Amino acid sequence: MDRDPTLRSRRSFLDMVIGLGFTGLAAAVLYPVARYLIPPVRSGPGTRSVVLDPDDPAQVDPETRIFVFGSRPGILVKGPGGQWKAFSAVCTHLSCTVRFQAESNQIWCPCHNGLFDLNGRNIPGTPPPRPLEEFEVHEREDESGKKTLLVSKGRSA
Amino acid sequence: MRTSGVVLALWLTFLFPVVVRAESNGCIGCHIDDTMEERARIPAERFKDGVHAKAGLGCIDCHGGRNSDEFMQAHSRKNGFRGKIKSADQPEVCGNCHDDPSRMAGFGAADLATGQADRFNRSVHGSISPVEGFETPACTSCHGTHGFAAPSDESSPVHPARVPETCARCHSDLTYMRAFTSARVRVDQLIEYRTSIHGQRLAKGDEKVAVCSSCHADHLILPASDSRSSVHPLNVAETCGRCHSDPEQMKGYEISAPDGTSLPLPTDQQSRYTESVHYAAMTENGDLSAPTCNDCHGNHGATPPEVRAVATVCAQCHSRPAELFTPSEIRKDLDTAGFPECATCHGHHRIVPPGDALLAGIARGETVAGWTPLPAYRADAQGFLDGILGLKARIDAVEETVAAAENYGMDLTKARLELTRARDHLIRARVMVHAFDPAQMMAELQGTREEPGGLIYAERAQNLAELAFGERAYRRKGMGFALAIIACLMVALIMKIRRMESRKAQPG
Ligand code: FES
Repeated sequence: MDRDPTLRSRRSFLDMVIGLGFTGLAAAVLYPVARYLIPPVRSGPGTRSVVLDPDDPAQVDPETRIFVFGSRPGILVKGPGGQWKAFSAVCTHLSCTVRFQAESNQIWCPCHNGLFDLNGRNIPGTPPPRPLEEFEVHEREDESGKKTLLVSKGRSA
Repeated sequence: MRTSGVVLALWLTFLFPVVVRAESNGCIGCHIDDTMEERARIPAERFKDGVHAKAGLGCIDCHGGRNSDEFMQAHSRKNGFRGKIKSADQPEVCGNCHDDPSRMAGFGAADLATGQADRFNRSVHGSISPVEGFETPACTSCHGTHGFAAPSDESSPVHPARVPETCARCHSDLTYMRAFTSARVRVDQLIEYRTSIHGQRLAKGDEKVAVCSSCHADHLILPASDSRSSVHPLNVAETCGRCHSDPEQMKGYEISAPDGTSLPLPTDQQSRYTESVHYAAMTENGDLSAPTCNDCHGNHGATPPEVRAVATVCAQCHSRPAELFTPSEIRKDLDTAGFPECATCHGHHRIVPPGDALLAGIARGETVAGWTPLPAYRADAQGFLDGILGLKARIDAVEETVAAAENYGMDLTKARLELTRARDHLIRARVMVHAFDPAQMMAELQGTREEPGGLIYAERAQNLAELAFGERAYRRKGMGFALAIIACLMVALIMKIRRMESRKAQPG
């Protein structure tokens, strides 16, 4: 038995510090780990694919048909044959963001009136010199039967 | 008696002409005779006035056979007689002499160009596959038959004054053209040509002007899609320049100045064009849809655009600037002053990439065409320039912040999207200059109630970048805190271990 009360209280203080220290250490170690692991996968410029619900206005703007592909805009349209087509929405003229134009059923660049057809091909006589970069689109169905689109950069792109 | 009657009749029918012909001269002798049917007589008549007869050539040099008065001798296949020369055989027959410089020299035509048949064979005309019922083009399609004349001779179908009609004999005939090419083939070139400055002058007797062959070449005619063709987009400037860059050729031609006076037609268009943004787009970026001479001036209907039509011509491709410029006040002022709309500031032929320097020039009161803008326009121009440069500087600064945050491993996807929008507005602001309207410019830079402008998007990106930095500072603090805890823990552990060791040393 320890008869010295000061010694005893010092010891219990030390134990407390150690206890708290371990708790803090555990928290300090686990927190960043959790913080790095849980947040959504980074979607930087290196993004190669995105899953889209074409009817969700939060994902694909119903008017401009723009969606977010990494840190750049993409555009999702129904091609001439009714199949989904996705392109980079970066105009091949001076890199403005193109959008779908319902009246003409074309892809239109508001900066210099550049036009692309629904196959992404630049319309001659308008400024863009090249077609839009095309993404691959695969239709998928999840367990609930909901249709989504997997839009990805082509292997060559 | 009866027998002698028959003999006489036979003699009259067959032998008498032979006797008559025996006094004349081979093929021509018979063929030129009045009793000869037209289709056999006219060639002979024409031939004797042509260049070939003058050079000492005879019918048999092309048609084979014998230069004999005796029908069977003259027309015997055994003697190489071939009759009418088929289209497919013409290049070979004509080329026998015309592709052979020494032979041509032998005819006293050493200074005449050679190789026409060879060039023809490699041309679009020479490679047409035969189509039943249609004659493929060959030498005689353009040069005529028998009475060949030098192109400088007015009677020649390839005399400059007659070239357009000669080519149009086929090229304006839809049925004929469709037999060989696509259903979309054009047959209106002659009509267009007649409206052109070239065609109008030709009609007035000016034979120096361009006709079909001046641009399309004569024998080695290739389709415009062939990169070797003189009318391929990459070669058009050179082709037009063959005449238009030649001061000697252009002597005497004039163009009217904005003030109504006449100036000699310049000859520097080609050299200026090759310094232009259009030429660079075509040659450096490989964009064959970029304009060359004919895209602004027309090809068959080539004519300089009227001062007031300049904007219309440029608008063929530059539709957005035109949309903004057409209803603008500045356009009205330019029209009133007689200045060539777009070309007033951008110049013509040597159109350089538009840039902020151009706007700065207008702010100083300088334009390419010598128009002095009103002070109000100059002030607007200065305002536009300041606004555009301000937005650009802001975007650059934000870009740096965003890049720095990304360097620390932060996810700035959203900031990048906002920056993209800001940049869209910067590009649009530069186009907006054409409206020359401060309110519309403000909408691009600052935004309106409905749509934010470039500066707002840049600000949003900046805020997101700052948030990222805030997060980084927070994480750093957290790290520091964690380190402090670890340090305390270690100290406490060391003390604890010491205490336990000292207790073990003094038991009891
Ligand atoms: S940036 Fe798209 S047309 Fe100019």
